[in-house]
Amino acid sequence: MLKFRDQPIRRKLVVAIVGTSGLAVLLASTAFISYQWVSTRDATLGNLEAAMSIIGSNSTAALSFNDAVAAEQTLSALKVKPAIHLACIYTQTGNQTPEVFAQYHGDGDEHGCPVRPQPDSLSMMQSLLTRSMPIKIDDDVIGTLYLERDLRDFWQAINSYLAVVAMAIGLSMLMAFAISTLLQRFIAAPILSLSDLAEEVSSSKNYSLRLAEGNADEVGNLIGNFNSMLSQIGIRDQALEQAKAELEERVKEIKKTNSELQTTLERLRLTQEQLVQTEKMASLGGLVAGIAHEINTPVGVGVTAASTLHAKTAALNEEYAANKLTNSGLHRYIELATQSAEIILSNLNRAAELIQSFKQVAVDQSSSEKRQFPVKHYLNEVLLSLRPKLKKTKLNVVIDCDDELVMHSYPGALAQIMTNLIMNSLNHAYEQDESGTLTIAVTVKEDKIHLVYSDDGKGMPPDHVKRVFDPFFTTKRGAGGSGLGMHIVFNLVTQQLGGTVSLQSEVGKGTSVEIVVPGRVES
Amino acid sequence: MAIRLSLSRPHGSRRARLASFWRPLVAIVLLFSSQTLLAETSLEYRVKAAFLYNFTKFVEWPPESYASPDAPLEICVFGSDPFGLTLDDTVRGKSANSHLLSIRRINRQSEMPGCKVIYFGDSEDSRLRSHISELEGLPILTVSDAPDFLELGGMIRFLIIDGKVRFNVNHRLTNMARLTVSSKLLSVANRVVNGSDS
Repeated sequence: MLKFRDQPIRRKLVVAIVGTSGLAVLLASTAFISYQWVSTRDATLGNLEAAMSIIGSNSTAALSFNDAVAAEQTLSALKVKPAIHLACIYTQTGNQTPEVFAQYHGDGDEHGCPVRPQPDSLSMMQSLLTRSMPIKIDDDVIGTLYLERDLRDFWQAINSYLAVVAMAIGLSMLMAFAISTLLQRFIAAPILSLSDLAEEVSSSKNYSLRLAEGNADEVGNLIGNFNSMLSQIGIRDQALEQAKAELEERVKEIKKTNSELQTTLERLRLTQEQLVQTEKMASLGGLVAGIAHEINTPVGVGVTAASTLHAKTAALNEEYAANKLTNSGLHRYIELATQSAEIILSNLNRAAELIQSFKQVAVDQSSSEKRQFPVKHYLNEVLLSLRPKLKKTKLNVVIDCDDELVMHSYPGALAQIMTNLIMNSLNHAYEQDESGTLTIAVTVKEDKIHLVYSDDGKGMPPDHVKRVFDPFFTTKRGAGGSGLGMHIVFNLVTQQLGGTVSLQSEVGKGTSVEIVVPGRVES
Repeated sequence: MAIRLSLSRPHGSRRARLASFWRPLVAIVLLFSSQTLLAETSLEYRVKAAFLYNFTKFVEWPPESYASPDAPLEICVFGSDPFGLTLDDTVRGKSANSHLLSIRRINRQSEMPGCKVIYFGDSEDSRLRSHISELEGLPILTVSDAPDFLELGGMIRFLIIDGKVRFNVNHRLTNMARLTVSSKLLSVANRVVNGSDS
């Protein structure tokens, strides 16, 4: 059995209406029956009382003058009231036992007059009402009237009321059932169709469904609101769909932009690498220029000496062929030849030496191989390669380094770093023909090599210091600066050498760069 | 008051007509009880005394017949008195319409005014006509045992029927005397005379 609240609405309605009307009729009937019971009882009692008063009054003379026949005649008037089946008149003389003076027996009397009636009493039993009252003349009690009334008619009346009421309840509930069964269609049917539609909408997600307009009551309002809610949901659904499509479009665009950016970034990185490579090649070019310049002198001297020797040798040969060769002439030639050979030898040695050292730097810079090298010697070789640039300035370079200090690392990276730092000082820190000192101080602290490079140039403002390692940051764009020099320094120190780099500078107080790298680079 | 007079017996020789009627009954009673014999005489008159008293409850006298609103209602016994103290006992302390009842015994016609009820004893049977004519028009209820009392102009006459005391009423005379007799009284009367000669 379902609970009431879980019952379908149409059954609830029917039960509510039938129950309410049944209860109402029941209550009204209870009130009616109660009222009828009370009023019928009161009427019965009142009638009895009136009849007894009349009989009592009419019996006074009969009692006074001892006329029992007259008294019984009076009593016989009760025949018209069949419910009264016993009436007795008793004499009352002083304190003597009352005696029956006259009596009346209707149908249904079974026991006759009681021997000793109460002078004034009323008792109501299941089916019998007994009443006794004194018979008086003025204030003198001259007798007692006793009456018994059968209450069966009273109960019959109540019973017939009950039957009518039961019929009324049954009939009204039946009517209520019929009416509510008809009425529930007006209330329940629209709600049921609403419920069905809601179910269909929620299962099919079809928000274009609509319900037919209902009556102008609350359920009709509900249907109207439900319809407008559906259309709102539909509109929102559409808007949502559109927004979703737009979002997808945008995501697609973003993806595309992203990949473009990725490509650009890749290209940028490639460009950067190319730039770095170009920079490297440029410094290598500088190196080659330096080498060419340095070798030029000894080779030129050698060539002069060799050409002098060649000319002298040809002149000697002519003199010999013409037999004009003299002893002193030969002697002068031998002297010159020896001198020339010495000059040629020493200058070729010098050239060979230079080539050897340039070769090392150049190989290091282009091959990036790891090896062990003496730091001070290597720094001097790097400086040598920069000599063509330095010669044009009045700058002095001081290397403060232990001669024995050796590190196992990438000498090419170190050469590149030092080249970039010195070139930066050359390009930015000093005016034309300004004199100054560049210092390279190398110390060892806890297995790390501290390399401090400093100049005493004009320094940099703080916002330049902040951005000095950023790629493409330059104050001389268009004047030969690529903005990559310090960036390359940063990358080489942190990535290839596995160290740290920091820069301090103040306007007017020069610039110093501290590089801390392990003395032995692993891997 | 419901005393059945089954044991009555005529009182005095002048009630010989009645005696012949009562005798067989008396004989039967004598077989059963000698005690009642002593009370026999007074029983009938006890009933009649009670009746006299009861008449005052069912008869109304015109108010002007009383000297004052609290004047007593006098029941007079003219001539021989058959009641003895019974009548006095019956009315002692009783009243009718706020008039205290009292008993007066009279022997002369001049004593009659003031009485409300006059019972004429046997001794007055021969002078009844004179007494009644004397009382004509006065609001005085006249009562007697005399058989021709109503014919003589009396108002209520006692008689015995089936051993019970009953009475006849001359309603015309009571009306003439401005006495209001209750219909209840008339309804228990043995006979009610409305005409002058009936």
